[in-house]
Amino acid sequence: MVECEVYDKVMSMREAVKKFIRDGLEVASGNFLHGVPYAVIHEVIRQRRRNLTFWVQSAIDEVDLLLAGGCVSRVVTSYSHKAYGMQTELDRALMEGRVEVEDYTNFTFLARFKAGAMGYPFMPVLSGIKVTDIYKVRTFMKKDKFGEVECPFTGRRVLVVPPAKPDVAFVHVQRVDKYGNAQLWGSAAGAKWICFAAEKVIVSAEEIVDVETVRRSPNYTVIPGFKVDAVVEEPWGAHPNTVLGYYGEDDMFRSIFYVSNTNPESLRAFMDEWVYGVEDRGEYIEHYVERFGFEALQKLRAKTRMSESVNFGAPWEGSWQNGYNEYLDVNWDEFESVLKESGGVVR
Amino acid sequence: MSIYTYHEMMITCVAREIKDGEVVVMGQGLPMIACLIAKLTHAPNCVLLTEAGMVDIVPIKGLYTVGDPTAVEGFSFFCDLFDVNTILLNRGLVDVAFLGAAQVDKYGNVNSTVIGDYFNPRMRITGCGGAPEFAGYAKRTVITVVGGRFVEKLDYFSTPGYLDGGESRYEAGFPPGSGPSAVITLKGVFRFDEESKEMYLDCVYPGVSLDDVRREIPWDLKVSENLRVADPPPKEYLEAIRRLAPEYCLPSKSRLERRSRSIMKQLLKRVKER
Repeated sequence: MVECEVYDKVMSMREAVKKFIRDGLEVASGNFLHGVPYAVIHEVIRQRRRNLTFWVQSAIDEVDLLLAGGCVSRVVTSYSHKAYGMQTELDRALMEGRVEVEDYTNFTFLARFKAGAMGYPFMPVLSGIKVTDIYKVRTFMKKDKFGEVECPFTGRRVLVVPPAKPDVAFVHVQRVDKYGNAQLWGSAAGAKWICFAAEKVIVSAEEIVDVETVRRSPNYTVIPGFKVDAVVEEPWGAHPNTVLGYYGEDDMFRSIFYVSNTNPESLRAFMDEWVYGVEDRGEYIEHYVERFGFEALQKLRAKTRMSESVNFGAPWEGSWQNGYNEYLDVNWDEFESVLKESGGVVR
Repeated sequence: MSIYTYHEMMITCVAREIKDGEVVVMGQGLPMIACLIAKLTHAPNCVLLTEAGMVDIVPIKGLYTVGDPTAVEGFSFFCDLFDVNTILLNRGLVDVAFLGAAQVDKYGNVNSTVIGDYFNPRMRITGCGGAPEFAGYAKRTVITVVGGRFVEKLDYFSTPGYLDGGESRYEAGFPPGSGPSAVITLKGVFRFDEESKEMYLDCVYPGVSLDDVRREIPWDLKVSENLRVADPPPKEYLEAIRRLAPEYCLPSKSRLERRSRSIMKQLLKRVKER
């Protein structure tokens, strides 16, 4: 066997952010309302990154957090949640001119990443939205937001979007192996396309499992290891959001954030306590338990509802069954003599 | 179950828009609850899906978001958001899409992006999400207005209804026959004139007067010659709504108050325990 040096991708979130996310880059979140990658976002804020362009398909409060940390100057999105019409950091940032937002629809947003992932120069989208302000109103993308081509077969005008190619994508998943083979189930929206479109990919997961576990259920893998640059084990990495099979939405904590988000002082206090006040995700969860009790955390844990396992078995174990190859009608012990008689031996 | 709220009445009316066996894209919030209720009552064979790629879900509670996989007892087809918009929606497989509106005009066009000027906003709303394509390409659309309002002119045009009325929607290239079939509020149900495509009042809830409705509409609202009063929610609907999503039965102010009180109670309990 040939030994080769395998680059060790397993690292802490601090290392991953330090290594791959630098000021001024375009970064994209691969999660869509499930497994929201808070562990990465909090670390980006702690490391005080500046001037990022943040691509997020649909956000709950990711945009508000990054704005509160002063990390982003541009946001590309289609949705950022607003609870009960209460004011958010995004509202204030827009009013104060601290951020530029470019609005897409969920579909046209993802179409850009699919084009990027596939190496296509553009992606056709559903042309009807040309009548809307999503098409007509442009913030910083100007003519690069949408384009039109003539279909060579029908002569019809077709609305298209250019590829998105962010510098870094990050995604939180249920499990990953040390090579970066990342498995996500339940809902995955656009994770695959967003990660394939990016130059570098950071995967965080509830747990790191051995490669054999991944290979026994390859259909769950959304990003293969060779496309992944950093692997981080972060239990509770998406709290207070959901990770199917691990934990559910923490509505209480969520509400505390929504209320904090209504004015800069209370948001500052929230950030001091939950982002700046802890070293990493481990401390965050320790602090949660200290503050709300272990029971509160336990209440969020998923009950067990195992998927039916399927048979991945084949009728054979390899090319030789009990030392015999039926195709050539030969035993393993006799094989060299067959080679000698074959007339092909190198002299 | 001798009493019911306007919210329960509204959820029932939204649910009634779904026919059994239809393929349904659920919107966020109240319309989503209504879709789940339809599945649990008169439309057990409807296929509920969210744009996140969960298709044919069986609900156990209200979903937190369209991407929430923890509120279902399973679903039968897993795909991604691109698939939902292309192989399902663009190929005409989606019968009806539901969406909430912050602003809606007389032709059923919707704003869910911003209040005030886009570049100098008074308030950002959520953004359009997936609504423009769903409202554009589903066979029909149902719009719900809870916290939002009717306006002469949208501050921002997020999602297409009948555009400028008449044939304009189809001239712009949307599938023939598609478009909003109803706008449903806490007071009644509006539908659209077949020719002009202008919205008219079709039905009010028990106890709601025409003036109550007109007060919220800034243009001269047309009213159906056969204006109906909605049938109250049947017992099985109320039972289903209350079991699945009790929080949606309350007006949002009361819901928010109860929620805040509950959180304070939990927090105080923690403090006492330590």
